[in-house]
Amino acid sequence: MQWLEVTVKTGQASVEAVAAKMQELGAGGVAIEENWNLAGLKAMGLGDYFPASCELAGDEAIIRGYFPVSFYADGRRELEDFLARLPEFGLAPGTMAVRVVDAADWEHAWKKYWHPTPVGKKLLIVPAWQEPPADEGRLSLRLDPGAAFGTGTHESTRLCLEWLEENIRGGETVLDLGCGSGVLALAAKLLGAGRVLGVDKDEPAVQASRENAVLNGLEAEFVRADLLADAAWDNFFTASIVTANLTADLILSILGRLRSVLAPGGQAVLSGIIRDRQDEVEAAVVRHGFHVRRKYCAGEWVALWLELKK
Amino acid sequence: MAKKVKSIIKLQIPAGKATPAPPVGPALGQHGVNIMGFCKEFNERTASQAGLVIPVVITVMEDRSFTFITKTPPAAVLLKKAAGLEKASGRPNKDKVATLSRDKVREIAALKMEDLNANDLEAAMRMVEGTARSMGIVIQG
Repeated sequence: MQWLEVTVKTGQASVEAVAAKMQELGAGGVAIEENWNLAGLKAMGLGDYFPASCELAGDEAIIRGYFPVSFYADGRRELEDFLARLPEFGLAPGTMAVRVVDAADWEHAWKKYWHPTPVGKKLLIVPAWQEPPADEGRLSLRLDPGAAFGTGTHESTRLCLEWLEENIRGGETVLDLGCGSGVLALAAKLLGAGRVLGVDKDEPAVQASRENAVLNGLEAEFVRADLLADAAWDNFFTASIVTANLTADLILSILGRLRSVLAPGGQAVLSGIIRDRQDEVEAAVVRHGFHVRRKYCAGEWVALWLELKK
Repeated sequence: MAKKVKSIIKLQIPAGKATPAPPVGPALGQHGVNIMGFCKEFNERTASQAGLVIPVVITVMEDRSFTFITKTPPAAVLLKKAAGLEKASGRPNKDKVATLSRDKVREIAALKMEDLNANDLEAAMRMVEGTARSMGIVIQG
């Protein structure tokens, strides 16, 4: 997909005005470059060692907004006119440059920096475009997340992977709610699980999961399902293990249905819970008749290991 | 663990709704940050502010990990709220759409001062006043 990247060079004083104008004209947000107050950022706890200087000097600032290509005909003139008038409002003048950019330019950029990542004691997550390293003594899971979530490097995913490593003995049935790239479902299978089903509301995620299953020669089912639609749950089987690496809100809204897909004695791992909301989720879990067997934390994230109360 | 900062990215994006589309994708992608990872965390932390545009400052470390803080809404958003405006004037030099007192502007400038990268309250005032005028808001007092 192509976008029109509009870059405005102006002075610090005009940043807020230009950012607001671009958003009124239809940019779904803006990126701002300034001559940063690095000492201030350090004081805010944003890092320990900062670059010696910024790329911009003095009160220079750059604001970037992205528009549909049609903006060149509809909105460009209004923005140009606005920039020319900035001094009338007591602000710094601005100039703009426009170029067409392609989503492919950035969608894959991060892949250069994603390397095989060991997780827990047994797993090694390997980017699909790299060969697994010879004999690391770990089980390699190759992944191409495409546009889906789940490289195994995010804390919320890692906590689930570590749990699966510890708790899959062999033959368990696994239901993965919100499968993203398929990382959890496929890791479960790789670790010896029996029947595995992953579901996600996004078709590209289901597609990526299926491709990742083939890539690894693993047998797992993936289907599209909206967890907020009651009817979707009728198509799931009851599993001895349910993983749900979602968000606090989504977890709260599915707790009522979770019991219906857990086999007797089954266990669930809920992840993707931001720390601020841990208490709220825990209270709801208990209200729904679950017992929290253990909690896991990493960074800002919490995962809960649940069992049904006997 | 001490971390070395590679770059700093400032965005204004809708709370709870970050996606890999621009400006998030290009801003983070060029620094090798896992875009989906950022979106998930940002959306979780800002879900309660849905409907508002939120400034976020992201620091990217040398190992491509990141950390971020969210700020108070942009000055223009606070001005619109104070003036009860839905939309800024399309022709701010001609069509004036609201009036605000200088005290109100000072209040907003004080609130936003830290985020504005301004050296003092006077500089922050000039910025907020100019932003207000650029939206067709008249300042009185």
